Amino acid sequence: MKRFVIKIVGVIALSIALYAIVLFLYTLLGFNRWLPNARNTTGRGYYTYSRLQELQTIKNIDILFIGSSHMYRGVDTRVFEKSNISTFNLGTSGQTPYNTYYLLKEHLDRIRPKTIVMDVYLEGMDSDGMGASIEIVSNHELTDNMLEMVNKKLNFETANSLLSIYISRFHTPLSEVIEVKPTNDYYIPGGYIETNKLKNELTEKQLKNLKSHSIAINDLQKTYLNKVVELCNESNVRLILIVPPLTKEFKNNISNYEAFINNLQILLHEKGVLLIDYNNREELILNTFEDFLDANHLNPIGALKFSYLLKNDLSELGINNHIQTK
Amino acid sequence: MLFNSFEFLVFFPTVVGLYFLLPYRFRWLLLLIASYTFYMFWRVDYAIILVISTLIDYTCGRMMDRYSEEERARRKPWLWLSLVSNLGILFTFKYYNFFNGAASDLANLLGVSYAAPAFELLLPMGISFYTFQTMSYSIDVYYGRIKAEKHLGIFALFVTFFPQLVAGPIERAGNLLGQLKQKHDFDYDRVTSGLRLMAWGLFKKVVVADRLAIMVNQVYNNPTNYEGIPLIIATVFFAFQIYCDFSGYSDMAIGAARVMGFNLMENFRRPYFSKSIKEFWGRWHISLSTWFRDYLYIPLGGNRVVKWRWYYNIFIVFLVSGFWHGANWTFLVWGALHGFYQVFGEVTKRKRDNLASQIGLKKWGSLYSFIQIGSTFVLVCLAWVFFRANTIGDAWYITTNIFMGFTESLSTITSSSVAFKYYILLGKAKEVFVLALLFIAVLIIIDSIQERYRIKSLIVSYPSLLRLSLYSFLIITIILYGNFSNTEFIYFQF
Repeated sequence: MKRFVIKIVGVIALSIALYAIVLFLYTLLGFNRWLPNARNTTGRGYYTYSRLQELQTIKNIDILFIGSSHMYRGVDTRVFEKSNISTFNLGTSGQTPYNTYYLLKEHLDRIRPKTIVMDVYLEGMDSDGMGASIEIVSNHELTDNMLEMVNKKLNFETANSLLSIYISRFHTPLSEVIEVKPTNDYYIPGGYIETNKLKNELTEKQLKNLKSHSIAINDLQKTYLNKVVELCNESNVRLILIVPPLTKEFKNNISNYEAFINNLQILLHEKGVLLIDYNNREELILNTFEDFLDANHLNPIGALKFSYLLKNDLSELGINNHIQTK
Repeated sequence: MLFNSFEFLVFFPTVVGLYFLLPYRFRWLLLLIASYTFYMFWRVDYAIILVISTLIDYTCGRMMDRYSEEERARRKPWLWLSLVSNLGILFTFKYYNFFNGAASDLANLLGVSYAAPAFELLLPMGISFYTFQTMSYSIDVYYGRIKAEKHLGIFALFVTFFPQLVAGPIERAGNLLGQLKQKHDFDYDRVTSGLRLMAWGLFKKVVVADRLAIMVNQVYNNPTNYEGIPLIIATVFFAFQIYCDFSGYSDMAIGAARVMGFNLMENFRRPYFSKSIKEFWGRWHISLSTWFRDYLYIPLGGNRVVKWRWYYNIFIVFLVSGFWHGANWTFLVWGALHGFYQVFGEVTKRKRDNLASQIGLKKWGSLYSFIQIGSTFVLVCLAWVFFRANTIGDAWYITTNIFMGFTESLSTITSSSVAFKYYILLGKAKEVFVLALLFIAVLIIIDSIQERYRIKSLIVSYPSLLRLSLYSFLIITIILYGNFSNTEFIYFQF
């Protein structure tokens, strides 16, 4: 038994040492993409680093757009700029209400927007939001809110990722990170991402064969959606939720789309929050192949159409009036 | 509870620690409580099925034992009671809705009205495994191969022994019951050997199988989006995924039992090195294959019958085996395909041998083996299409499109600026694809070594530091590369 205990202790000690060496080397050499359980995306991804860096300079704006990639690909902030409406697009890949809550908790006091427009990321409503958490934390200062966001679901993946992020911070301070720019995509100050891909990447056959599926909101996301509403209420900021446009093929393959939106609408209405579904707006005419990048993301042409309509809607709702719509 | 969960990481060392600390007479009770706890982590109420199954088979066994070999006829009603109740449980939970649906479809086809209610029942985890294990016990008692177990607690432990409760190996009473009564002391070599096997099984499950699953699911959940190369890649990946998933579970089960001193039967013996389908079934899910051999094939007459009947016996066994895997037409076709392969293999064996001799292939031993292994693998993969596909329609689409669209696929690859780019067709990042290939290569290398040498002896012969480094390397690989979000084992559904 004694021999066994000694060997076990030896293996554990050796494993810890080897683990530290591997993680250290991979992080410093920038090989994290080869470590699926240590997803440190510092300076990578779709301009999350640039966006979060710019965020530090944002104060007292009219509208904050927040949510998933549907936001940073769909809402062109330049459309609002032309009308002298100050905005910032804080969309990040796969962002769910869980992540939105922590981002707002961290920055809302400083940004002080009059209105927040948050997207309902349909595919993320049943997730734990951990992928987005790691992406955000990788490109953000390691504050208490950010650490809480990751630590709430501590497992091998989040622990490895967090350790790797600490190592990279130790090696290169966040302000000195050089961002790897994705090909074909460009960061527009204000948070929007413009792509030069103007045709849908999916073929007609692929769109036709999209698998039918249903969507749901889990307890975690429901809780954090409520927390976002409460946070906005406490800060006296108007919150509007939107469902950005999807291709009709994608929408038609969501078997419970109408029921889901109706239920969400009822839930939000009780809290005095407006939900606008841009998939049921006749005036927004979008072509699957001309206006979309894939099954559910707009390309710059589609984004422009959508942004103008969104701007008009928000103007009609009185964006400068920060009194809650109850 | 899953072997690849944090709960098990706490549960197992606790059980093992208590097991060796407790006096021998209490150990069966500890293992019984542990086994029920293990099962009830999934669903508490379904443990009642285990209790019912245990009580019926215990009673039937004891009643059969009251009569001598000469009075076998008086044993028969008890055997029937055991078989009917076990198969009844299995039918209710696993097959009722399938037959109900099939009857409804048939009625629609004939224009007859049919309306039987469908049950909204969750399939109890591992039901096919433990019902088959208890049925084999009853049959063995009936034929007098073993004596019925008198100790209800030990018998209950035989039914529920947690390492092999939910996904086998399907143990025989003759092997396991006796061991459950033996005293097992702490043995350094045995414990470390068990832990090594568990770590290797975990590696196969979370690093290889669950990484491959990402790409396999992508294609098989939406097969009509693909044709040609991606379908081939996903099918080959699935072949390795299911092997690593199931053999990984078996390794963990055998390893966990070994740590406590129990020897469970070998369940996999590097099946993809088989030179024929017949050999494949001697290496794949051995505990199930031998079960069907002993309790279905031989009672049907085995090969001691006229040829056509022999072929019929083979085909029926594989058809039933397919149905054992799941109440879906896809599994039936998978079983039927393997039955056909076996029969066709037997019918053409002599001709194929003659052909190989005539063209001189047999002189080239390695090449001949390579062709045999390769062709067996291709046939197995073709059958896996039906096993993995969600519907018969999907499976049909894949089999009819798997050799199409090569021009389109190649043009996608050649139009890209990336040098190594089959991953583009799967819509996944390069790293996901390359890592999958790397882990398959590691698996093949380790299996090749095991095919020739006893890897355990090799490792034990290494200097202590090198050995410990190897274990550490395995642990680190699991931590850094394991996919812990895709936790279910494929065979749990059976």
